[in-house]
Amino acid sequence: MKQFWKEFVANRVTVYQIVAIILAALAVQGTARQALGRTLLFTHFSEVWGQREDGVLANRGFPGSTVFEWALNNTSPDDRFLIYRQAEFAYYLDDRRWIYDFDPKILDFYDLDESDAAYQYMLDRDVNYVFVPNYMPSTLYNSQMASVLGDPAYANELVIADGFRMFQLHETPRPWNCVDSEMLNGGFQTMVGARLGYENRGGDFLVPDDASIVGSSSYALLRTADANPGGGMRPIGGRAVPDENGDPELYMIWDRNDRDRVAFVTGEGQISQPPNGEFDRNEISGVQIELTAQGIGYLEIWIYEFTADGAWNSRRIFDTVIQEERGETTVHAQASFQPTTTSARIYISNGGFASGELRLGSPNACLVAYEDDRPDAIVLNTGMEIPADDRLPDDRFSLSQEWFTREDETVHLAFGTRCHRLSVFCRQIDETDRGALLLMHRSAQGGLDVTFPDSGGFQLFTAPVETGPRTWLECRASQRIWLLERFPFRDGTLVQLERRILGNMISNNPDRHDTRRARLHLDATVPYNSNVIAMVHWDRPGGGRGCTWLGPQIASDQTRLSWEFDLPANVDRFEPIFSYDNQLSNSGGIRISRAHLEIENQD
Amino acid sequence: MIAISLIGLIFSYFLATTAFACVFHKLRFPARSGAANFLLAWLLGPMGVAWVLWVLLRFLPGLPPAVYMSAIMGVAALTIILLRERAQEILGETWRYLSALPDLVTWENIRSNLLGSGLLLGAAILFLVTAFNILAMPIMASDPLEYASLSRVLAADRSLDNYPLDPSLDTGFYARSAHPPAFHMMIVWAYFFEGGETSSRLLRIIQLHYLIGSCALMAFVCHRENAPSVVRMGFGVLFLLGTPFYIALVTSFHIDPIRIPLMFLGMVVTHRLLMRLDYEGGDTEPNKRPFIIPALITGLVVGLGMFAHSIGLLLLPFAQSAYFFVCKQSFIRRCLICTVLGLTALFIGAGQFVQNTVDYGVPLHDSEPVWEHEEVDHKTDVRFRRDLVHFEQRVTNGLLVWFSRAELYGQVHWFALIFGLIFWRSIWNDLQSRVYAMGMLLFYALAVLTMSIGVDMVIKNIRYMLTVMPFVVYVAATGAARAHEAVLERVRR
Repeated sequence: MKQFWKEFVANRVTVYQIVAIILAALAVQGTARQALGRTLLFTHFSEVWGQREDGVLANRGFPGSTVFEWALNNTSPDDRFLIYRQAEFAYYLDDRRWIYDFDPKILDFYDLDESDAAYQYMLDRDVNYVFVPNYMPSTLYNSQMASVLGDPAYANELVIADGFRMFQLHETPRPWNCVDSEMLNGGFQTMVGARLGYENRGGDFLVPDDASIVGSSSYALLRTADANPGGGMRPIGGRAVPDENGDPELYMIWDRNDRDRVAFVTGEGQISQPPNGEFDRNEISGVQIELTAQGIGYLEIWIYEFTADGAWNSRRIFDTVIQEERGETTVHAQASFQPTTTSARIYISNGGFASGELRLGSPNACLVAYEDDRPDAIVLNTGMEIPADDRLPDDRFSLSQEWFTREDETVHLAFGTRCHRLSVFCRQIDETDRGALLLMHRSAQGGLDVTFPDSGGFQLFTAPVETGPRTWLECRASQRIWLLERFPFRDGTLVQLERRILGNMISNNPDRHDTRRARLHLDATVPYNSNVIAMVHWDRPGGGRGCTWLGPQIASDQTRLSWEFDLPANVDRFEPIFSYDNQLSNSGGIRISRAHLEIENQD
Repeated sequence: MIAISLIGLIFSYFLATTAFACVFHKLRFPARSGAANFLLAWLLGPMGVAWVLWVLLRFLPGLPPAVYMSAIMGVAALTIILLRERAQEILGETWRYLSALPDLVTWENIRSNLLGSGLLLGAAILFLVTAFNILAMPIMASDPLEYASLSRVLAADRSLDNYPLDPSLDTGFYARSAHPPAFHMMIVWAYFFEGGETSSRLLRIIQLHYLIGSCALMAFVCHRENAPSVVRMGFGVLFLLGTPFYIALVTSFHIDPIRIPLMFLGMVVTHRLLMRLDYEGGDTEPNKRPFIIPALITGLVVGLGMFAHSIGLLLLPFAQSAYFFVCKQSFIRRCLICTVLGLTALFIGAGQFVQNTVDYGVPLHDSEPVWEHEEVDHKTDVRFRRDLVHFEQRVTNGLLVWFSRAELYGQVHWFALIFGLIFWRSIWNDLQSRVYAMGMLLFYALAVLTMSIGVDMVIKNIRYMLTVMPFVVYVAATGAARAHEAVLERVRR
């Protein structure tokens, strides 16, 4: 045997040896397939080859394939489609009849100015379905067809999969009523810093503040993406202010960043949680949105749908390029609700493209109730994602804050911290050059640099800052900090903007007379190589407060962490707080599945 | 049934490739070795079939598929039979090379060249994964589906009346693409072998054939007869397969993995022309060597490269200027050689461009009436979606997209730039690099020129920016191998 191996290694590798190795690998593969019912490495080739042609539309990996599959099985060659992408129709549905948006035969369609003329144009050509791929081409959004598809009287969404959509065009305009809803009229909250592609997983958004809901306050919003400290933050932002009539007017502005998003979202609370106000699904079939837009930039409208038990999913229902030269553009969009939907949010975003500035006016949203039967949208392969029952607010640690001012004023900034050293740097960004595409002129004037000492107690620092009209004030922590509470004073009033707490396990101390040894355990899912930070805030009867810093621990994926510490004597309430700092990637967030505290008995 | 079709299609490619190789070997250009001629002919086989099919469909439309099939395969077979001794030499030599390859894989060789072996192993793994994906993935991308659909129409008509397809058919199908229809012809040819069916099963063989050919060609040019180096070869193939976007295009059945290696082949053969007429030692002075046959063959290869796609039109000026500025001939002979080359290439590859000029007034036609419509404003839409709104974006995301989007282009352009700066002298002394540099410079000049006059034609499509990728891969591989040598020298000293 030894001799064999010696020769095997010493001699040249023969074709027979290679063949033997391949055969052995195949044998292992085959055995595994018999034993486990699945292969170890690849899908069995013959399966793939066999399903390629026949089962291709049933292949869930094929984007939008289920819309084509639906069309194949549920429409006839007598139906006529208007299609905004030809490839799949031409190849997989080649016995159907359609009108392609590129076809020069319908060039005159693009000259139409009225949506009812456009509707009639398509009816005259026997069109009864409209297929839109997972993006809206300029032939759609720059023609009256966008208004037709955005009007429930003319059309409604019928099949939806992977963002690909099939609309049905009604044979005659179908009367419908606009139902008002608390869900949509509670104002918009602004969100800044979501990253491209996160719409599908709303949990990755920064948690919006209640304070940034438009309504009583003129000022709102403002946050930058800072999941990645020091990773190239840029001033981006939006604001929502009431116009002269008191209607909300939304204003988005963002730098050339290509990635970060500015967004407005309806309803209070975190975007992945259902908003207030459910609607009657026996009556309501969908939602219709109308707003005006001007400026320059890319605009998207998304719909977030929630079931009664909190499951949700999201999809883009409109995207367009807004151009300065075209003046004010009116945007119409509609979405049909999925069968289990009971509440929804509308999300309007810059789409993360280029830089730009958009002014959105008179946003108006209706729940759609048809006067005749309610048509049901058929939704394929986009199931609702149910959040974990015990999922706590999925938060990012915010290191930066921005304010936008409208006139000369003095803003009092206050920063507070417990438990750790903190250094803050603020600067002003004057928005001086509005004409150029580059909207922001940055300067470093007005900086202030403060350092907090290490402390177990709460430290507060305040400073007045003079601002000019149209100034962005950006404050940023210059080093990693684990807990930052900010109290901006405005007009002498203390407003608590936010408090970042990832666990809210307020407990009472069973026996508070002595110092006790305590262990804090945490089961959580965290991104690769994260620092998980824990601290315990505590209160003493009669008002004393304090904090015990437990420090960071490196963790990855599904993890269980423990900290051991001395719980001070005479504490009656304490509150463990977790946070994390992700050094390597900016994806994901912490998901806490279980946290508990053990306190040793004195005996 | 599918197995018979499959074997038939592969056999037809084999016949065509061998026929080309026989002609090359008979005329002793582009290479003197039979195996090298076979390798260089590999990419031309399906292309030659496509070209002849195109000519037949133009002048003799409407016949049954079997007529076209037997005509084309008959011509190829006849060529091989007439040149049967050459064919024996070529296939014998190729087989000797191939059968000797396993003998080279010894532990001793692996130990003595660990880096080279590792690179080749990596390339082999990537190749296998890509080949599996080619065969396993359905066609999902937009352009390939339209190519395959239009080819169905052409295969059913067996004529070019519907190419370009304008106005639309009764079904509504409309495809006004006016590229030279090489890819369509390849697909039609594959459909013919299915006997009435038009599935995508056989089409995958086209892509596999070109993947093998591209890797072999890259290995061949990187190996260099005068300075063989497994490390350079390994780097070359690995860089080629390590360009993510290229592999994505291969597996999604795009035309680019066919036109790009053909463009590269055109420049490779131009380099061989330079070697044969100007740089190789020989009995006669460069100015007295017979040039007609090498120039004709170079013209043929360049012409087939032009036939592959509209961008192939660039290959002619690339090849001509590379020859003109690098050769050692007298001015008159330079002009003569470039003229022979150019006329041959135009004869083979200019058909569609002439037709476009007649139909649309321009040789290259890459637009749609609806795009020109003012209200639709397609150009702005493209600029926004592709991040080309501002001038700086057109520079970083257009002109310099090779460097700014590593998820598409890998690191090979960075390697080429860095190694090019460090080893510029040895790269400049390498004739091949100079020839390819000419192609790169002209392509870049075109991109800059079109961009500066406000036309996004070249920069708007990330696929177009892949055009000169093999040249870059060659420079990067040469530089990386040179760096490896430099390190070895330092270590030995």
